[in-house]
Amino acid sequence: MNPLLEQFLSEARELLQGIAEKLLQLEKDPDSTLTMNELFRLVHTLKGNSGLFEFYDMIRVLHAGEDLLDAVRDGRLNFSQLMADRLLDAMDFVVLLIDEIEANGSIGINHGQSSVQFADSLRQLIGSEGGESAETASISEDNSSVAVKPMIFPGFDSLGELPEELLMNHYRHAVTGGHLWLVEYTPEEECFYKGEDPFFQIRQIPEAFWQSVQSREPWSPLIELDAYRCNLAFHVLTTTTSEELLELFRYTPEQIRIVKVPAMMLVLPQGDPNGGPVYGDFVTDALGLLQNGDIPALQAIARTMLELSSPSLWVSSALRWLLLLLEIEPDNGQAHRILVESLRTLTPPDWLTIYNPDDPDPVAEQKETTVNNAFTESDLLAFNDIMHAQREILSQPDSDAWLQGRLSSVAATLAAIHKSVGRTDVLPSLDEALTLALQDDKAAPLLAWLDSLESPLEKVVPDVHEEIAEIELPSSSLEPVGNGISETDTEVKFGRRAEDAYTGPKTLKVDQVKIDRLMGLIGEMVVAKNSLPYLASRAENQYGVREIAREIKTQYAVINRIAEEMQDAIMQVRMMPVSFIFQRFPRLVRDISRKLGKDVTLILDGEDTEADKNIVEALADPLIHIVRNSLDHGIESPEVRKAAGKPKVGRLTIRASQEADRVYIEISDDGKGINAQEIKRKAYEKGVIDEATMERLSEQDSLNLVFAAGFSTAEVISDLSGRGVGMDVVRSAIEKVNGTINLESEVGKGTRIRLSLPLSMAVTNVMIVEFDNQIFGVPMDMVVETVRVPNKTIRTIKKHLTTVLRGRIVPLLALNELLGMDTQPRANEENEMATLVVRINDEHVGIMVDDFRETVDIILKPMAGILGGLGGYSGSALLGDGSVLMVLNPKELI
Amino acid sequence: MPIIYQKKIAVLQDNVSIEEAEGLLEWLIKYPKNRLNLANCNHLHTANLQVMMAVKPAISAWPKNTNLRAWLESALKNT
Amino acid sequence: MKHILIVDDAATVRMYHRNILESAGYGVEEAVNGIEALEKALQTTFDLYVVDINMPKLDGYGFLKQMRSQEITQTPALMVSTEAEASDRQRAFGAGANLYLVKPVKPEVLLSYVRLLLGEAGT
Repeated sequence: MNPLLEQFLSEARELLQGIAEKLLQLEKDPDSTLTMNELFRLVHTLKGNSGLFEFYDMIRVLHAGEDLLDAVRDGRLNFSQLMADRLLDAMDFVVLLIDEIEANGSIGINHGQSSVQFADSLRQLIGSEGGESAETASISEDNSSVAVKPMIFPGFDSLGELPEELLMNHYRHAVTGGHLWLVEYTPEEECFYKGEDPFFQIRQIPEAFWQSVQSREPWSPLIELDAYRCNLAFHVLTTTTSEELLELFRYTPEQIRIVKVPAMMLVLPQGDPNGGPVYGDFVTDALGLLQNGDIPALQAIARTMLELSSPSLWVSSALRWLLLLLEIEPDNGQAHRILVESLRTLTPPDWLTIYNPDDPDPVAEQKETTVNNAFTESDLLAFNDIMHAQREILSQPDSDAWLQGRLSSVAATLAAIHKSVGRTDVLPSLDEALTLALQDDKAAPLLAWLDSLESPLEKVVPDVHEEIAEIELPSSSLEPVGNGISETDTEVKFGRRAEDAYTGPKTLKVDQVKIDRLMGLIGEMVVAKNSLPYLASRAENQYGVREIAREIKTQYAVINRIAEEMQDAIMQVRMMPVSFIFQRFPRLVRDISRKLGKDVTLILDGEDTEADKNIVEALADPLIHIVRNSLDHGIESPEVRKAAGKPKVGRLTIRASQEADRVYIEISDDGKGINAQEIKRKAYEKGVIDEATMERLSEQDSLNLVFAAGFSTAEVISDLSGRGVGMDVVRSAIEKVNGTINLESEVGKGTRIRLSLPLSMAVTNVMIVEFDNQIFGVPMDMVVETVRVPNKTIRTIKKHLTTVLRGRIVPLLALNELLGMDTQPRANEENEMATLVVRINDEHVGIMVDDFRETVDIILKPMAGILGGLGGYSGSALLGDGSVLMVLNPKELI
Repeated sequence: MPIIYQKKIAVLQDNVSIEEAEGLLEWLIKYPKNRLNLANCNHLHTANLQVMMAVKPAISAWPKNTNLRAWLESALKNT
Repeated sequence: MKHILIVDDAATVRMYHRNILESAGYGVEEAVNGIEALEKALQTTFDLYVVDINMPKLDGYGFLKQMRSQEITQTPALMVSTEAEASDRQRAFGAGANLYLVKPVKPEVLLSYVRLLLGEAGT
């Protein structure tokens, strides 16, 4: 994928996240202008970014969102719940598009419809709530957006194909005070979906005498051509009034440009290009007469010339034009000269390249032509545009404090562009004008300098602008909302920036794969390192070289320390804040509680708490489950709460904290709590527990029944006064990452669930046990103790083996039963069974094996491939001697 | 008014609506040498116009409607 | 080599402009908001500024006003934004911009303007 697109996607995701956050903040505090501005900026930025890629389905929705927020920002609309809903939905749609772009590099063609719908749903809000005022405001804005831009005439050549007479009429009309407008209409790509027919629209323009339609982008191969995506741009020359045009395009003013065209543009001789050489003399004579201003004489020789030429010749046409110009614009010597020149070269007069008509120096003129040749058309338009912009700037009020800087910058700009076109000769007078302007604190001297340049090109454009300005409706000025700069912010920023201005970025974005590779390597390192003690003992025992053995051990200690630190460093890299998953809760809680008709405040705390990436990611689904339960079954409806004397708004708190090497996540609500007795009864009815157990179970144990597999089926739960939907799933997910879950509840007061998770799951301390000539690992954090149980103390109760350890009945299980193997565990010489006592849900269970071995630190790798489906194992690890250790997961086994 | 597809010529009449564009495109792709008769056409939706511009089919009869003809001529002639 | 400062809060837009300008052989620096831009302008002399309007902390208007009023530089500044309303254009000019373009600016168009403002075109 190209880097720019990658950048776009990653930034888009950040922006969308930010947008969602701001929307939720606004729901709480709808009057916060700061938040609203921030929200607007985010949407605006995202829209701008999408514009670079022409993701139209996305732009449309974002544009609508931006307009809507703009209306709120201006106070034309109030922020509402409905608005938040629609914006969130629309942003979800944008996320979908982003996903698609990420996957395929582009947006599928099937989103046009939805895009329009989302955009409409947002625009509706502007229309409906804003009422009259909103409408007027938007119209006035629209009119002002008929922006003046440099003239471009696509397909301009075809203008010359119009009958000469027609062109002459329009020329006459335009010169004598009539209008001559170029309308450029660029319909939206998706306009068809809005029921528009741009071709019909453009054909409605009255008094159009020239038209052209072009494709904007080259046509795609016919097979891929999308007939319903408008790819056309229309141009029309008309003599109608601008009011008429604006009226006609009042619904799509942003898609048209109306530019006043200088009448000269119509002066286009036409006809048979073959002409005789006889014109050489004529040109010389004509130029001489022009120099002397002898118009009558020029007219006379032109007429003579015309009589001598066949009327169908191009030169005849040029002569007719010359006569017309001499008649109607006798003072426009510049235009006359260009026409005469054009007769010499037999090329059409290129009015666009009229550059410096007042410069009589033929050398300078020559130089200029070459400069102009090196100039592309777009450069020329740019030049015009910049000139025009400087004029606009100078026309601004002279009052502000930074006027001097502004004037200087205008002068610098003018100097630069004139230097660009080789007009260094005008620079001294520009300098003088600037000095004068700065002296008087006025723009006028610079304006005068601009006027003194007298280029027809410059004159044309400002004229157009004035024309447009005239028809501009009183614009409801959008009061700019300043971006508040908090003082401290500024300072901090300054300080930090000053330090690291040239040191480059301090954070790196690293591909997850690279970190994983590092993890794998350090894992191998730890394993390789673990082989050193073996080596030492072999050196000592097998080869009897004690010295070497000791040295190996010393070296091992060093390598061990480095490896541990390295491991720790890599762990640090993998740490990420839990905010990664917390951030989706505001939206989730909002959506669910709205759906359930409950009022809930969500309090998040300790978002900065960090844990290993895998842990944090593994936490997401269980947490969502718990939160959902809390909202579903915990927190009561406002009426019920009120009746119970509680505040109407329920409270859900999610708090993260770190203690030693564990991360704790606590989810608590102030809902109705769980009735332990009822849980017990339901569990009994469902056959999860027997009668005896029911009697015996403590309050807390009863609560824990919600985690029992088989308890939490939907029908059990739906009428229960507590929670429990899928809580066994939650438990097993947490346990998979070596976490524990704990539930406390008080009827009427609320429920609290506490998750305890390891900071990192990368290193596991396991005890190795021997069984049937194989070794297995058991995570140390589950092992309570290792005992050798004399066979005679083992009793059979209800077909289960048990023994009494420290006054507690402990059920005993043989490992072979758990693994489905035939071999029984062997007793030792004293007829004792090696028993590993593990803690499972606060119950102690003994697992009988052949023997115990040492404990080791291992990097646990999850089972992959076929083995992944194998229950009862939490993973495998490489040992120092190169053998593979299967690590048991007793919770799943039992 | 729907387009009448004959063997070698498609006849566009009156006001050709947007729904026709897809079919017209397919027809022109399938039979690149076929021609269009626009004699009695008064207007065609932009979608049809751009299909014609993309394909540049041969025209057997230009519209009698002079304004439409002027547009189509400028649209189909230049490249 | 001519140096241009791109001021925009959108990383994507910065990269877009950077690509265009660097491919034409200009040196490019970036700033993510007006404050940072001011910092850079104080430290280095640039030959042109390409400035976004809507940015956090200090927007494009604010940045330009500061530049022009503090006489940090009279270097031409090109304002680029998505707003096409005349009011924005006028405001940009009032603040001290020398040109107002509407995003996205096509590469060749941007370069036309940039070359002119740097006094380079046609040479």
